[in-house]
Amino acid sequence: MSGAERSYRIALLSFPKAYREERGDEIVATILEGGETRFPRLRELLGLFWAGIGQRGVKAGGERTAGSVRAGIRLGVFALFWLNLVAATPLLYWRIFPPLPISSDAPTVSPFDARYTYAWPVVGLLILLALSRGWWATPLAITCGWILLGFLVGEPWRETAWWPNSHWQWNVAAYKDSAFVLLLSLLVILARPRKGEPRDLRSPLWAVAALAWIALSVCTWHFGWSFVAHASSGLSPVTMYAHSGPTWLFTWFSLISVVAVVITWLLLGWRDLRLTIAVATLTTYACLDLAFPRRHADPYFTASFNFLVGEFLLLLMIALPIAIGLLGRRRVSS
Amino acid sequence: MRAPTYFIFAALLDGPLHGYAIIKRAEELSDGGVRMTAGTLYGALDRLSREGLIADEGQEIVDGRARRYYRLTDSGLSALEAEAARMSKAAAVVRKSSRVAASRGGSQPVKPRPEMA
Repeated sequence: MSGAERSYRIALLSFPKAYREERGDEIVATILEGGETRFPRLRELLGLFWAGIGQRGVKAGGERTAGSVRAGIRLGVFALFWLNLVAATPLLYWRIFPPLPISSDAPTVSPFDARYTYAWPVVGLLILLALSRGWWATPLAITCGWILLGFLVGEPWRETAWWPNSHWQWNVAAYKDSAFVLLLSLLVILARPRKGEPRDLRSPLWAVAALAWIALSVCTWHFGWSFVAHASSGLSPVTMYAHSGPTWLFTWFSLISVVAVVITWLLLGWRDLRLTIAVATLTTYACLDLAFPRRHADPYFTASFNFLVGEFLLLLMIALPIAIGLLGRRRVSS
Repeated sequence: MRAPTYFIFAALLDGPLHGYAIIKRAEELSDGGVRMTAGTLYGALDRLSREGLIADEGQEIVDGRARRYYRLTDSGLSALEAEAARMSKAAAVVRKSSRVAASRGGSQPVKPRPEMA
């Protein structure tokens, strides 16, 4: 296989798997018949990529259907749960290598009850696995159970959100995050696939990827490369740096969100509404989070090189689950 | 009907062709105006197959490479004819214009209509 052919086959990954297996050889043969070149032709590569995305849109159950809106919401919520699982990293780090390896102006962690540190990633992981299997009611059950547990151990609404970002503010924002998790859990139930729609299963490898990322950031942080962990914690939900942010930040972020949604729509149009809806779900959540600022500024995240690199990684990490989420396995329920 | 679709149909008028042959033929017929990538071609072929306008005519292996042939169905042919008729009608509107006729006939200036004079 020549280098060019290999590139075309990589671009073929944008097609649904079943389609690729059936037609992939034929499509590549058609390109190669136009003359074997040493390097792949960019025009063909881009053409393949877009055709693949379009094919996914067709497969997702058609255009402009309520089904694709629901699929988009599920994708967005899945990405949010994934991001927030990854965001548990700094807490784990603190638990594994106390004290926090940060400057002296860092918040003291004394009021923080570490009993649940290991529970958060586990709960996040369970929810992620449940969603990948198509058990749409499980997140709601787990979240309600978690809140109930808070009441039982005498800490109602306090440190009871397993959503990791609240815990940097200890008990201030936990109730808000619990409310958001409840909201998302309800949303995913409302957006569950109806009879005859694809079941929208995703690979359990997503959970493995989150764990790998957490492990990577904890380890690299230990060696002083904190930007990976900066990105991880910033992932929940994009606004970690900005939770005490002024109004202009909210306005700015809302604007960027609208632009992101519009760009996605312009790129994919009606062919695949899922991605647009997924981006809208993600950004709406982040905007809502900003609309309810927390009371304390977090001195932990300061402008620095690490911050910038972290932010770049952050964008990458947001784009990744959405993009690869599209590669999730889908089966049509009988 | 968009230009690539039109020329895919036109390419298949003379009989079944495989992917690359369709691309080349469409390019020839359109005087180089329609240069499809494989992605565009297969996107269109899938859509047209779903709509029953073209059909799969079997597969063969040439030099170790898969080739699938496509043919125009009857409904594809009537869609193409309808489109050609529509375009020819649209073209007639322009050809009938006295101004176009005048510019073709020579360098005579267009006479102003009496009511405008």
